[in-house]
Amino acid sequence: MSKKNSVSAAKQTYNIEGMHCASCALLIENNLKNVAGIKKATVNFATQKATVEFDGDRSLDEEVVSAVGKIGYKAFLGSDDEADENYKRREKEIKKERNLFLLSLVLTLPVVILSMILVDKSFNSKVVQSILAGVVQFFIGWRFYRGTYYAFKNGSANMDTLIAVGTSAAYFYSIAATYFIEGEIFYETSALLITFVVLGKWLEARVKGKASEAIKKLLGLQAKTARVIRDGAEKDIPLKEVVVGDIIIVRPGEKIPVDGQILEGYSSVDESMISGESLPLEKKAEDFVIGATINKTGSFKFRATKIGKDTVLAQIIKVVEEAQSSKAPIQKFADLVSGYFVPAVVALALITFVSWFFLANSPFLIALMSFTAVLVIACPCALGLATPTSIMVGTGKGAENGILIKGGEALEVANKIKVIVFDKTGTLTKGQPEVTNLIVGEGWEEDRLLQIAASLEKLSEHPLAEAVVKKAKTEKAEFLSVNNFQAVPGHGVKGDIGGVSYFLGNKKLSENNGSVIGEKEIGIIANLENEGKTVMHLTADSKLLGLIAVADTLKETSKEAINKLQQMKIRTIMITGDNKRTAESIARQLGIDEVLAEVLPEDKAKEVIKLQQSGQKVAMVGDGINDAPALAASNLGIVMGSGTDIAIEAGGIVLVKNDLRDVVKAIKLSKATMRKIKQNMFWALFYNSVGIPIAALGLLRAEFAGLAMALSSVSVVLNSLLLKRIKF
Amino acid sequence: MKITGLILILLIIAAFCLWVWKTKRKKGTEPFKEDGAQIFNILVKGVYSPDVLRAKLGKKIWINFKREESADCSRFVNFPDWHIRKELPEGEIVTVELSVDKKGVFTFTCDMSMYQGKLIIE
Repeated sequence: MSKKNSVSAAKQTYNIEGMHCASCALLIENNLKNVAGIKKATVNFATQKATVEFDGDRSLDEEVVSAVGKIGYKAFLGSDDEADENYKRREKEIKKERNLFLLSLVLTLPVVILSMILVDKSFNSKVVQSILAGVVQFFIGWRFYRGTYYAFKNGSANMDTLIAVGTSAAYFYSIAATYFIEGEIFYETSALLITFVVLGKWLEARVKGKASEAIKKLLGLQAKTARVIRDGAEKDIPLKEVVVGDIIIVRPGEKIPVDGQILEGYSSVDESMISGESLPLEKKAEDFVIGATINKTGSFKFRATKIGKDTVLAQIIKVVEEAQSSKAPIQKFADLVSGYFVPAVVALALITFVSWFFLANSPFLIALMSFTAVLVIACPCALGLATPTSIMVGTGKGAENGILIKGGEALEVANKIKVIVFDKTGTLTKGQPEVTNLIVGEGWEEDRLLQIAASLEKLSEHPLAEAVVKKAKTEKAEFLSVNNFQAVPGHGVKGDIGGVSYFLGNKKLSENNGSVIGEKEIGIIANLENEGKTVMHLTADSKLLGLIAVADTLKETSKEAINKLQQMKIRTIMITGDNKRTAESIARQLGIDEVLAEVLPEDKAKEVIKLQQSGQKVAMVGDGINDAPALAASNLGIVMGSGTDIAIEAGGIVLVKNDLRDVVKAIKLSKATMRKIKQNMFWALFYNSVGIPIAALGLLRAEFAGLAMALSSVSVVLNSLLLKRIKF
Repeated sequence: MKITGLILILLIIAAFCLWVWKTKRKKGTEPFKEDGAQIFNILVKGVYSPDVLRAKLGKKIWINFKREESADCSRFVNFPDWHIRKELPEGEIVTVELSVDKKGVFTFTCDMSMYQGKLIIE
């Protein structure tokens, strides 16, 4: 039963045990409704839970448990910490596997000593061996018979079938040879086989736990309590009681409990666990902080803005969880093989027996041993584990470094990417453009130019508009009221101020409204654009009134990232709405291969599709806000996160940090993960296609075949775990 | 002796083919319905039982898994088409809730794909 209870003052969810049908649910529901103090009760048979609303502000747990208990069912509150409980339960199960293995080993060793070291062929020795091997066969190995039975009942066969049939053949033949017929015994084969298989299961459970521990680590990052100000006093409360708007105090060395915005104070914060950023970041009033990161030096107060499932950490956990549940397309083949594997192996083992005994006229014992070896050497688990364990380790490693890979499909595509298209603003550049030049026409002043431009841009959401408004605020310009404002996508804005219609935007916009640009201005514009600046034209009545040049600073890491991608033989392309000259100037500074300039926002997706038509896999890197269609159109959308707002929906890979070098890391990690998947698949297929014929030809003792089987799946998981050591 | 062997081999191959044919023709278990949802109960013990589920398009699907074994293999169930991976603690009922908006055959498996199930949406 899933133990998750929602806690609030007058509402509580209980787990219910013992329900068999929908009418049980109805009966419990009716009984609960009759309890004084209960306002409403809903019992869900499917989820085996009861949700109870109370009249007062406190839940009446004892009354609920007693009312449900009276009619023969059991109600109980689940644990608050589901993950922790699952972890403990898992540890217990792994321990159980270990104990089973140790017991099996203790019982098997005397059998091995008697049969292989002392070679004691006396009747007493045979009896002792039959008893010890019997315990291994039917106590330790009971699970294989049980699994076989259930699979058989369902019209199928599974791994348990192979082990149960294989070991039974060896054990029962030995029993016959001990008590009824003349012949050799080989109790050590069945006992060792089961011991090796149990060893394999124990090791596998241990290493598999390591492969999927990324989620556990992420959950462990969460703070348990928060120090909030309630009713004017500081109070430590459990994390789940924090609400949006709470004022939270964080002292040096403490974990920031939830996401929020700093109100007062100054500190440096270690965000490495979320973004992979190794250096602590300076934080001051109005800056955003992320829950689960660590406050280093100062104290500060912040207002909680995101709690529970909305926090960055919760979103990261969701992405990693979903990624780990996804399958790479390559896995479909493994699934198909696994579906038919066991019955096919049983058929092959029977054919082996018949071939040895009937066609080759070999002794019954040789035929039987080969039959057993074929059954126990076959290991579809290795094939099944090849992809998921690699994806688990790969996506987990990515999450540790602030690279969120959304699933197997994204990994597989990332491995094949030949072209990467970068959106310019906010991706290659910092996305915080600044006004660098104000050039006024005849009879105009800089202040007036800035005032008109800023008044128009105040209503726009474009990053360039922000730069103009910011400049106007610095210059303390007064904003004028604008009528009939209109944004012209990809061109600029227009609006009426004091009865005059102004146009502010690119060259196309001024040309479209009939403005003529003089020779002198053309020269100025060319010079500014050659410096990588974007030039905005302010026109009215078909006359150019002034020019505003805006420049966006390149990110320090963009050039290095482009260079590294080129070394990986990936073609880099910049896409921008800027004019050709400005775009080419920026491209030159970055060393980018190609430029797609003057592309309207809505046409970016079309450009991506055009690139794909050459047959190459194209990735698009953007901020996921205004380039979402292009991200969706590409084979792989890579979204640069801004740290606090992860655009989860767009893109196959999300980078928590705003650092282009993570694109390189993401591609490298994807390639490494895919390499592991392929290695594992090859190994699993090679192992089975070589191992089965070897066993069929009688070249391998059955117990060693069993050992090889047990270790083959462990080796696949260990190979996947090597991904943890990848250096970017 | 050799003829007996050859006949036996042919019989084994025929039995395998028959099994493949029967597996492919499995009709699937119908759900029971409550509050407009389609509910399935699956026992996880050696296999998923039942392993073929047949549901109707448009209504919510709830699949209750009860794992009655400690084999690590079946610890998680995956529904790759829904990006769902759920842990199935031994002895507990875990519900997987699915919203289905298209017809088709969807698989669910354990981590190693040794336990395989099919959900047929009609």
